[in-house]
Amino acid sequence: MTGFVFSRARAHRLLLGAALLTVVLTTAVLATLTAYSGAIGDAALRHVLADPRNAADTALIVKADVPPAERAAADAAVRAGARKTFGGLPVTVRTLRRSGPYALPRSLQPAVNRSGDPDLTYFAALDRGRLRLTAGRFPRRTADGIEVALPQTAARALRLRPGDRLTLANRLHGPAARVRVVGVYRPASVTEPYWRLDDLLGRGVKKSGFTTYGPLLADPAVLTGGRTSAGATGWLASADFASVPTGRIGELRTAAREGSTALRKPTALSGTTVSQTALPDVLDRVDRSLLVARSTLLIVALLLVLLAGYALLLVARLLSTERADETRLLRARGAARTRIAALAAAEALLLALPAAACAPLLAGPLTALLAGHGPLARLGLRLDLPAAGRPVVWLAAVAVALGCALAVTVPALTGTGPEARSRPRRPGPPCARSLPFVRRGKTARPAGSRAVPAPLRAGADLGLLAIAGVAYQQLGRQGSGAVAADRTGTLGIDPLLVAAPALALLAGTVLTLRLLPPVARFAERWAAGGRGLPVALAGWQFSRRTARAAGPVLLLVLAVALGMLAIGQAASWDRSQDDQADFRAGADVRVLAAGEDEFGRTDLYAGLPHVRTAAPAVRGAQPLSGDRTATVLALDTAHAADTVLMRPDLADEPVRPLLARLAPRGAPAGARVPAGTARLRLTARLHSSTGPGTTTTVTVTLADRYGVPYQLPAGQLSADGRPHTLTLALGASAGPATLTGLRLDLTQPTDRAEQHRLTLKELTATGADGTEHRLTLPARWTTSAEAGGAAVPSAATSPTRPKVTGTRPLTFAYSTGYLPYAGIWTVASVTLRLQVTRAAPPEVPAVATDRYLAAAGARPGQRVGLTVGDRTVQVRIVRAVRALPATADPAATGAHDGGAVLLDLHTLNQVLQARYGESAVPNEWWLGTTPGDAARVAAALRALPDVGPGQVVVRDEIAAELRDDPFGAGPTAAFTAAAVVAAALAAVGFTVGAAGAQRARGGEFAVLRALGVPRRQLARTVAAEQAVLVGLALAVGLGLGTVLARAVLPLIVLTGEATRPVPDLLVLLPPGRVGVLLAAVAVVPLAVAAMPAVRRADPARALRARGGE
Amino acid sequence: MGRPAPRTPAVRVPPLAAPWVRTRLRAAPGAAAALALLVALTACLAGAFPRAVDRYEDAGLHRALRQARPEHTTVRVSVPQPDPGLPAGQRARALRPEVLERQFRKVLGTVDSPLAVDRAQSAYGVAGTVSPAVPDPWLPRPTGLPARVSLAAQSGLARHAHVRTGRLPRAAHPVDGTTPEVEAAVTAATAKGLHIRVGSVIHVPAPGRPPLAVRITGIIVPHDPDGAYWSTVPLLRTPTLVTLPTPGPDPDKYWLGALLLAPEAAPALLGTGTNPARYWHLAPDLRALHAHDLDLLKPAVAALESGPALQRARAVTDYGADIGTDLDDTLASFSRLRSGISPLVSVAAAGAATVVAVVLLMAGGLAADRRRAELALLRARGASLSGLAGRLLAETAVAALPAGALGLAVALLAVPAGRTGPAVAAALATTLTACAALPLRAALAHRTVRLTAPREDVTSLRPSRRRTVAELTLLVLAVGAVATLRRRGTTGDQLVAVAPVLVGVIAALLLLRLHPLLLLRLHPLLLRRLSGPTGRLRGAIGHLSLARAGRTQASAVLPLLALLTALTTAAFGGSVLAGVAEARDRAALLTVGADARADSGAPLPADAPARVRAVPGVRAATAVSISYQAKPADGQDSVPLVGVDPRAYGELADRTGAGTFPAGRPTGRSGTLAAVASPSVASAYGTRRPFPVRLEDGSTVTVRIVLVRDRTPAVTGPDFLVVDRAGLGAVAGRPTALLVTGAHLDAGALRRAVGGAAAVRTRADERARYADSPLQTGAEHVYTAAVTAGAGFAVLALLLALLRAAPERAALLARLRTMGLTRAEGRRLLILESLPQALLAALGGAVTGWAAIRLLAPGVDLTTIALPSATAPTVAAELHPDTWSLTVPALLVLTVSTGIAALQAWWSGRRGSVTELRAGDSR
Repeated sequence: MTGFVFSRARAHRLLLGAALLTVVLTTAVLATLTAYSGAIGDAALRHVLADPRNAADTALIVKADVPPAERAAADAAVRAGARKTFGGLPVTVRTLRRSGPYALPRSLQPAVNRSGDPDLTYFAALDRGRLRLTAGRFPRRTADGIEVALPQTAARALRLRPGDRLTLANRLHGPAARVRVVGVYRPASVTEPYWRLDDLLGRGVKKSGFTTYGPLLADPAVLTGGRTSAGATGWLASADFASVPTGRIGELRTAAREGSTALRKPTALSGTTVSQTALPDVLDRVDRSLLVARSTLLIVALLLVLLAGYALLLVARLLSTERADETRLLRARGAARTRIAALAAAEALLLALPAAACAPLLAGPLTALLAGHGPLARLGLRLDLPAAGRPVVWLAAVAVALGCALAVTVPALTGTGPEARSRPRRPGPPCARSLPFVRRGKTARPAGSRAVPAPLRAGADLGLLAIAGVAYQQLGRQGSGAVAADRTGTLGIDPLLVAAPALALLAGTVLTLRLLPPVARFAERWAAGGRGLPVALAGWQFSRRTARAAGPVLLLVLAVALGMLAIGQAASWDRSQDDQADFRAGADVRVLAAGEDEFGRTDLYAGLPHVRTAAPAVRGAQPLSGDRTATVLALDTAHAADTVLMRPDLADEPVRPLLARLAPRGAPAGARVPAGTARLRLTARLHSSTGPGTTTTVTVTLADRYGVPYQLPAGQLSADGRPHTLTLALGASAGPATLTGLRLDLTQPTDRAEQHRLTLKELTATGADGTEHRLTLPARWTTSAEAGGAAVPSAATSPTRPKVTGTRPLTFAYSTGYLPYAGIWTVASVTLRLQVTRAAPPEVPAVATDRYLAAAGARPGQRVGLTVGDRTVQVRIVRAVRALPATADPAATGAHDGGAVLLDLHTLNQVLQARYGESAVPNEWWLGTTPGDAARVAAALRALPDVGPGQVVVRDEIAAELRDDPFGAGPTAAFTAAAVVAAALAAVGFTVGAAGAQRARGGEFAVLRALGVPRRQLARTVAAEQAVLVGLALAVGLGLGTVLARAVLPLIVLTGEATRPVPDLLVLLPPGRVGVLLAAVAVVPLAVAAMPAVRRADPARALRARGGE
Repeated sequence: MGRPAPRTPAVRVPPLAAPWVRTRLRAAPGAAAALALLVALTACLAGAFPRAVDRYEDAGLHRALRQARPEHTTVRVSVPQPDPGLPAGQRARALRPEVLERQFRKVLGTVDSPLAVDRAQSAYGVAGTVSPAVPDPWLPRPTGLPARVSLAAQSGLARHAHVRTGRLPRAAHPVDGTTPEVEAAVTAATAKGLHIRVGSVIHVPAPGRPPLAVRITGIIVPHDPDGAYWSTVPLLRTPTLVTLPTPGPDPDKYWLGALLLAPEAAPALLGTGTNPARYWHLAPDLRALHAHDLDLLKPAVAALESGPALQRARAVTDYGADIGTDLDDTLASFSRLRSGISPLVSVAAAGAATVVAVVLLMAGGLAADRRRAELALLRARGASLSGLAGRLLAETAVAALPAGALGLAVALLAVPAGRTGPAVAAALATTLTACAALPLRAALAHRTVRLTAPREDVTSLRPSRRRTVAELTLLVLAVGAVATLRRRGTTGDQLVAVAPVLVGVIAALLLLRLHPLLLLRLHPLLLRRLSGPTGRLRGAIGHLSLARAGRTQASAVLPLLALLTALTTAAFGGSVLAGVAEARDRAALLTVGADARADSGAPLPADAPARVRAVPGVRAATAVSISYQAKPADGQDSVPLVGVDPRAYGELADRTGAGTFPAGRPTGRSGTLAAVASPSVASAYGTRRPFPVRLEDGSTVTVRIVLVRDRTPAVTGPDFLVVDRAGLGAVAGRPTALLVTGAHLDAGALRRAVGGAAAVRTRADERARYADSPLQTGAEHVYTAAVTAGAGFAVLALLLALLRAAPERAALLARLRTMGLTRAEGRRLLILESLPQALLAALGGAVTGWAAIRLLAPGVDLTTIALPSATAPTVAAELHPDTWSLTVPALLVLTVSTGIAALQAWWSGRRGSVTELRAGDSR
């Protein structure tokens, strides 16, 4: 039998060669995908765990107050616990031991601040490997005094240098410390997780109410020797994850969860304040990303399996057609069906064996090739690829090869089926003799003469369409592509959903077969009208051989559609990462406020180099019905119009006109304060009807250049009837400003109201250089009075609104009201607001997202109330948009997400000022940078002492992070590889099909040649026919691919968190790449068509060989 | 292919003389009547279903809203007092009733539909937001603190209460902030609590002026104390004794009551320090709220709470207006409950709908089958296909449309609540299906005119490719649906709802595909096997019936489909209902621990067990002592320690099936008590070493855990220790609870027996409590109805199928009778003949139902429908095959089919056989 199999195989070299090529290609590609999936998963896991950005999260941080006697025990306990936490991986432990707080001498403080809190510092024994010395030397152990090294930033701020001596007051109970500065250091890298142990995060200076400098690096013996007060000890344990495979994720997570809680148990660590690691969360994230990547790879693999299966079936069918006569002969001579099946199976195994043997060996280099190109190459992932391949790769290769063998065997079996039952029919009527398929392919394809294959006539395509429709609908219902949560909430890959794209592709392709008969009819009619043999013959052939031509056409359609999907995936994914970064950041750079904010901050940011525009913004949350929370964003739209990064399709109109709808009208009214003013002096007199005793706090409202009013304390004014000068110190970099109002706060008198008269005598602005300007106060004022605390709101007890009783000098008169039954604990306050009158806009225009409109039951054009601070503002929704950038609230997601509203900060403040005399103070700034300088701006911002690194959101950083996600980049490469393989498979299939057709029509051409048709005309006929087929396939594939890409990609392209990207995916099909794809797919078939198609066969022999049996 | 035959010139055919419809109706009035009956029945059911669902969902919504109480569901619009800077007159004017009334009407206009306001229960007025302490010494002072009063001037007092003593308060003169005295009424409850009588004067302090004297002129009784008018602010009708959160054994308390002023007297509040606020309470009109409007209702509430409607309300009242309500939370929780229940109902609905559709199609198919010869003749004579179909459509429509309308009308009358639109649509759909079935079937069958009629009694082994493809498609969909259901549960997806039906359909199709194979391959085998016994039997009955059973009817597809689908749905539905009942039983048993229990904080009277045992129906009463504050190992955590009599308690545990343990295990020896513990306790304190347990009375026992059980009857929580009561000592071991077993226990009698010293709970009461929401009971009823209807239609399908074959069988019987068959033999023949088919259907149905339940059970969670949402699910309500649901429908099918066969044999035996044997008949 073996000999026969080989000799038979030699007889059909071409077809078997094609089949072998297809099988090897398929097996190799799927084995490569398997290897790729495994290798990329491991490499990505290690990449993520080794990423410096995640280093702080993956490390274990322990902080404890350890009594001196138990230091060694605690250290040992932490080390043992850390080993357990990281599941036995190699662990590095670093410590930071610090003292209690000390106060710096007052002499180091700026003069103005000396009355407030003293500046603090502390000693610490730092890991010297994490430092770089910039001046002096490291401190040593000394007998008297303590040698210290200062952080560079602190040294600069305190103007200390090596050699200076200080005495630090102990803030706890203990002696003061005399220190000598011997060196200045800086952290080797501030982002290193080690600095998480430091309260100042290695930044040297921290401002939060009071200022802390430090830590003062001291010799470890200083801290252990009892010469300083005792403080906490911090340990940082970080593991080396270089050898962790994805299979160990679960084990590692459990160990980390249990280990970090178990660390609180040992008695030596009973004073533990912190023992945490975010490793489980990082691993959860990795798990989700891994699932997403695997599901996408699975989708790719299924699409490829579909294509390869079809190509194999095509080749196998051709083979069985070619062998129909041979098989018939065998059957007629008495061969059992099992014998024929065994022969076919042996032959198929012959094809499968080399494929199964080669594929795993090829998988390694191919994977390296795949990872070496495209987005992954940039990351420099180190792939772990054993030369012999992993067992799972071998398994996959063998399985695929066997599947291929099966695909090759099945047509051979079914091909012999009908014949076994039905007697060979007599050859058809003479007129049909010239058509080879009637003569040769009759038994193999009983339905060959029909326009549509048999399964299709039975409605298989409609059934397929129904299944694909259901699968697609299920995929669409799912917010997370093929990664679906089951009933317990665990994520997993849903087989139905993974198969949905492949099903859709198959259904769409098969449906196009219905398109062929009408096209063929049309072609025939058109060809019949033409003159000349080639066209007529081609049209005639085409319409009569539709079913036979359908095979290769379908293959081409599949390949083009798959290629379109690949192109769409790659382009859309890239675009989506940018879109997501834009959407998350909102602007090139966004700075969040740390705490309370002072006047002139916007100017500070705007004055940084490379900053083009700076727009202050206020972000707030608005509780809505049904436990939802909406984000309210008030942005200085006049300055932010060029800064806001908003994708055009998120709104019905471009960003600029959209923001222009919100823009304010008019400038703030009030006394203009010139730029460069260092100090503002207000001379005022307060007269009370009951004589001196009451003191009022005066607050000045100053609007900066951006129209944002700030309430600045101007000091106390006692009601003694004498003029007092209130001084307001402005920052150095203050731009021009406007004084728009005053606020007086006083404690409400008890039992009797007081009548006050406030006289504002003069207002002067003093420049930094000492020049003075007298400013004129406007004459028209709007006033209000409000009582708070325990105040009793009634006509008799409430304060009255101040009235302007004189304009030169400006005088106000009001009554304070009183608190009737005052106890010791009851205190009432009175707030009097004096505003320069200006027309306020009647309402605030706002842009709302669709989600907000749904959550609030509103429509564009309606008015809603928004809460800013604790005041209600009426806004009118002028536009609905699909989403607003940088408004996602991490605390309110899913059912709690109430959407977002955007309004103009300026308008909002005008309304707030006019109605309540208050203002919303910016808590973030949207900065536009000069192109390419965002990183420099971010660095400059982070260098500011009161801006934490986490408070600066940089669009480019987010984009880089998203783009460098190895889990996301992996599938893109696989898609591209799939497209290449699809083109190759299509080329093989089409070539084989064309060659088969050629051979099948040898007799027909012989007849035509015998009748005198020139060979050139016959070649032209064949070329025209093939070109039409290729053109048709490309056109259909293009259409189908476009439809599929638009329908499927938005559902299957996911973020690493297994959710659909926000904003949703915009499917891109770059025409250039599509053109390259079409050319690549079409080049081989067209070349085949253009080749001198008609062999120089001897027509006489061909005519003689009729009826060979 | 020859050339087309020369076409004959078109001849105009004159219209038929005989009117088709009338002729047909006259010829076969019985068939038309039967069709009309069927259509009326289905249309009635189809029309009633959506309305029944609407009705119970509405009831559920109303129940949920009523349970949430007006305090939470009323929409409260409130506005702070006018700016103190305004002139006094203007301030007083803003609080006058006519202004508030005008604003009330405008506020009503801001409410978006479908949220409707019950104007009768809505109210508006002015109330103080601060309740000042009043110095009048005659008011009760339980701990020395003076009482506080809340002043309210609410509209419509006269309409919502009647006066018991005195008269309603009035305001003779225009009132403003300086008025020294006003009149007020109090409710009877307030009067009782604060010792107020008509004529009492309460002095409300006012800053900067003498106190406001409030003279009580009347004591009133609310008409509807639970209505929104009185219950939105319960303080208006009922005073409260407020306890201050002061530490110490005797916290400070004071009385707080409301004085109801005349609406005209509201401006008087401006003079007091009560910080009066104007309010408008909008009570939702429950009758106008519908569950199907929920998706519109939520935005309407959202618009009021935080959207444009709030802004409109501010525009018509005051800029500082605020709206508060918890209506959104109530609607959200209702929505969650509904979304947990509706998928299960849709499973039943899909099953019943499939069966009904199959039966309707079958009726059409059978009619077409019966009239095959007639229609073939018409076609042969030249009737066009469209003409034929049109005429048949007219014929069926004449009977079906009025019947459908009648059925719908009956449904609308029978279920008066709910929407009409879906009901009409459903009835219309069924009617149209019934109308179209016959014409379509006939058109399909007579598409081509044949020379010879195909034989009806042969079966083809190879079904058409089309059918194979359709079956494969369905199979893939079914697999997908089952996989989805198992993975993701019943989360409101249509695909999931049809999963059981698809399983049934697939099973039916599979069976049909196997059927010919079975017959062809197994039949000879069977015959050979049976030839022994049958050969010994006298007569030809055995052979005959086997031979006849071997011939299949071509029209066997649809009845089998209907039967299997119905049986699957019935089995599934029955198991769901059984599972629900079982979950409730189990939850009730676990909560109570026995058939009834009496719990007391203090030790029970010594004779209580004996008296309880004397109550009729009580089989046993096990006394246990439960110490909830026992602290093991001197720790801070307390674990309930149960002292039991091991033997009696062991029997009890056996009976309830919760935490069974071998008798005598927790008996103590040598000072250490052996204990049964829950897994959490066992893992916390270890099972190896004994540990001390400090009891409530201060004594300590040493305990060693010898057994670990998940549950124990006496305690519901996850932590417990069970020890021998004898080892606890006389004080700690005194019984505090009685666990009673028995049948038909009377809670009242038990309560009397323990003498009111203990709280008595019975399992039956507890179980009744679980089925509390109309949503759950309604869903159950609809479920039962759907399953029953499905089963009924399946039997109908069987009847129709047998009816179709009736004439042929009658003829056969008649012929055989002439050959000497006795009546009894004839009867036996028919029964034996119908038996294989019926057995196949019954067996197949039972197996399919079992398989469907086993397949789908992991994805179906019955907890939402079985147990109230509030209770923590102590038991997981799972779906598992219920024997009764599987066997009863199958047996029913078997009985009905054999019964019909017997009936037919009896009937044709009575009738003369002459008509059947008339010469010239085609049969």
